[in-house]
Amino acid sequence: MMNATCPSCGGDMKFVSKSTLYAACPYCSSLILRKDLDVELVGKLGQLQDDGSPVQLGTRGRYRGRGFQVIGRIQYRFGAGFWNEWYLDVDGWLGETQGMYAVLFRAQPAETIPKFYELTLGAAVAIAGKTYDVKEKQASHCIGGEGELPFAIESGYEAPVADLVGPDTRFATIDYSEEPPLVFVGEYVEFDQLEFTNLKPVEGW
Amino acid sequence: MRPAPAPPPASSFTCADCGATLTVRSTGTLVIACGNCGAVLDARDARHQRVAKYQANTQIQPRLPLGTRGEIRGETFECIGFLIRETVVEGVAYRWREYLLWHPHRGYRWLAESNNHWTYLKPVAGRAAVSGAEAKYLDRTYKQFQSGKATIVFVLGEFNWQIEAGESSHMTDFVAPPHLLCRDKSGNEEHWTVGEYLDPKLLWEGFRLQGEPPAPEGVGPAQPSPYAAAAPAMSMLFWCFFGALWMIQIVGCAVAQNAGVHAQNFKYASTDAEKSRVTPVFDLTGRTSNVEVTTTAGVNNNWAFFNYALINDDTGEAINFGRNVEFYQGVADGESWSEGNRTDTAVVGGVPSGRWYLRIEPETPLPQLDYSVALKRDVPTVAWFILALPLICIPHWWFLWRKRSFEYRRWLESDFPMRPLVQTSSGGDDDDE
Repeated sequence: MMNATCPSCGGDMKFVSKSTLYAACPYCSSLILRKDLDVELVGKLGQLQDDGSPVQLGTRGRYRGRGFQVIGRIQYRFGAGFWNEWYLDVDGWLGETQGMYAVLFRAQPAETIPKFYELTLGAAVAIAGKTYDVKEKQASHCIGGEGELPFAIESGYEAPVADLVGPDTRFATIDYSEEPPLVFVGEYVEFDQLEFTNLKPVEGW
Repeated sequence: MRPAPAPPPASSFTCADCGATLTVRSTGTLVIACGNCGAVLDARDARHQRVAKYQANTQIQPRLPLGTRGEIRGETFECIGFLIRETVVEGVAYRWREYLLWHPHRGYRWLAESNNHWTYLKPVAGRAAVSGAEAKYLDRTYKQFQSGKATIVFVLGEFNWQIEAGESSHMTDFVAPPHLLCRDKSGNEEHWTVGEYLDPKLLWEGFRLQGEPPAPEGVGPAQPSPYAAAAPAMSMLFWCFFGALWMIQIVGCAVAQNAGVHAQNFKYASTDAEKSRVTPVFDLTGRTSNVEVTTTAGVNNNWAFFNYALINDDTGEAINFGRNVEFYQGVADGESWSEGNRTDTAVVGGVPSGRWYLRIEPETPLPQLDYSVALKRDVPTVAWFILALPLICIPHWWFLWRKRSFEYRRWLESDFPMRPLVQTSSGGDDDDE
């Protein structure tokens, strides 16, 4: 745990994870870059939308016997819907939309990943020895973020992203914002298997 | 009794087309269909613009009223949307109903109802692999049941996708009863759901619906077969009986005395004043069992009939029986032929132990005949085995027939109907019975 002061508004900030590089100020949504014990303002994030997500910063859960805590979030829009990439303190991601949950980790596949324009829906792509099918391919609109993140984000940024589904419950995401693209692989997990605690209460439920 | 569900956190607005009050219950809702006028409105847009229009029909009452909460398989969901799909097969329209359920944590589920058969489905997380008429997902292989174009003909309530007027898609059902896997394909997009057959009673209980669920018609595509469930036990039972029968047979053979008792040669002449012969008295020992009588007669292109009486020397009890011995041979068209046998074997059952003798009275057109009679006590026999086998097999065959008949009726409505075991003479009749 590291305490810092927001260079924009002077609010108190906490870094939970040692691996975190960036954090959003909870008071003014400024994105802060951590430089050892010093911090630097890198940008301002947009207002997050109320998407009804039951996950929040501080939500705890369990994946394959290992506990995790949600420490950061990026919210995206696709079409008329939303989805969240929650950053976990185990350096993984919890993708979440409309009651579907996937746990993903950064992968460095040996295979050559096809370019974004080369992908067609339903086409097979080999990642780390497994074959995935392209399920979605779109420019996803980054609405904003909160908490701690391993890289800088920008509100309004359109990230070319492909979602791929593997055999059975395997799932992968390729983010073409960088070159080479960032590859994340993981699997869909049932809500109950994640043993969540500290979820956001939903009014009426 | 469970406590009454909490009131939903609903937000309301008025229908842009008719002014009726509409309620949005789920945070993931994109569109909402007005039950009063059939308009489908954009639930996300502040002005709630109309995105589609369906024919309103206030006569249609979903079995699960919108807004009701209930429990299925231990999980609570709220019914938020209802639609009717139609598919036309050879000019006949078939309709089924789908209910969209929602929970803020678990997301969406579907209840589909056709002919009062219910299935409970959830989105496929990941990918199902299709090869030919089969689909595989999570170690289960599903067989293609039906495929066709389905059109949405009625909508009510809210949905998490953008419904268009008269929206149609290509739907394919794969089954592995009680499980099923559905593909909904429109253009490049595929939506898969997976689930299983739901006993309507569980639904009525879980959602506390009034009255009894309407009786399902016919066999549902994913309806579990009662015969399939009983099949392992029935098969076990059959093999147990079969094994026991074999054991009895083997033990029976092992304990049989199979002992020669008496053998004797006789001469017959038509001129004999007394043609009957008797053997000396012999002992039949052991349990009450059979006696094998072997008759050998030197007949050639002729016959001999033997009237036998096995007589107990002490009680006078007699067991009467007759045996015919005939043998014919010759040459026809350059090939020799023969018919019959000079030796005949008969088994007389249920003979108690004691002192017995055999009386023989031959009849034959021959003037003279040499014959011999041999008696054996307690020979192994397969008669009971042959008799009991059908008694074991027939009920099992009947069960297997019922089991297949159920599957036949299931697949009758599919794209891959089973071939009937018995072809009816009219040819076009599809009845299995």
